[in-house]
Amino acid sequence: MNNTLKIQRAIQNLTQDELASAIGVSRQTINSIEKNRYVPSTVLALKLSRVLKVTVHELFSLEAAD
Amino acid sequence: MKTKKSCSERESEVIDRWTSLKLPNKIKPLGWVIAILCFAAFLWLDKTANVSFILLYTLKTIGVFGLAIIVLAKEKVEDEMKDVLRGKAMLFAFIMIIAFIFITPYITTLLSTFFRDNPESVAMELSQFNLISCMMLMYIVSLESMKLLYR
Repeated sequence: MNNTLKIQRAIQNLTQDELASAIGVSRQTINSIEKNRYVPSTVLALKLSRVLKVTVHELFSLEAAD
Repeated sequence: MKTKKSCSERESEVIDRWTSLKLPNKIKPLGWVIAILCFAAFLWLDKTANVSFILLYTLKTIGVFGLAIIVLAKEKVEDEMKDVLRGKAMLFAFIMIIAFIFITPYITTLLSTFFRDNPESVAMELSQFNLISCMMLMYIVSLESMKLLYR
């Protein structure tokens, strides 16, 4: 799975810490999602899309192998 | 209208209630101090003659209690990823302890035949303390290494 979290975060001018605080997770979680090490739950994905003001599909997409 | 809960729903609630019990993060250093001091004292006193069994047993118990504090303490920020890592670390520790139970006595006895006259005397004692201590240590080590990877 791919994600544009880092790009969307930069568009909103948010640090990892600020984004993490906004949705109630640790900075390590945001970092892990950006590096594709961790796949967030549906609830977390929806929270991210709400804070970053984009749809979930704009944030996350499946790779061909998926 | 009250709906009667099924057995599995009630069981699920009990499991949720118990697994949500966590100690404050600030108590973790205390757990480390207790565990290290007690196990160090145990190892030192075990080599000394004329030490009462009760004292050694008490030191082991308190050391395991210290490890339990570390295992049950919260992280600084609790979130879903930490729950996932915790689950993976616990499963890994469980698998390792199964291997430990089956393999270690043979390895220890084999090694002791080369270094001791009576190998039975050094066969690993699979007491509840050794097993639970090893399991908690494996859990702590695997959780910390995964946290480093996911930093």
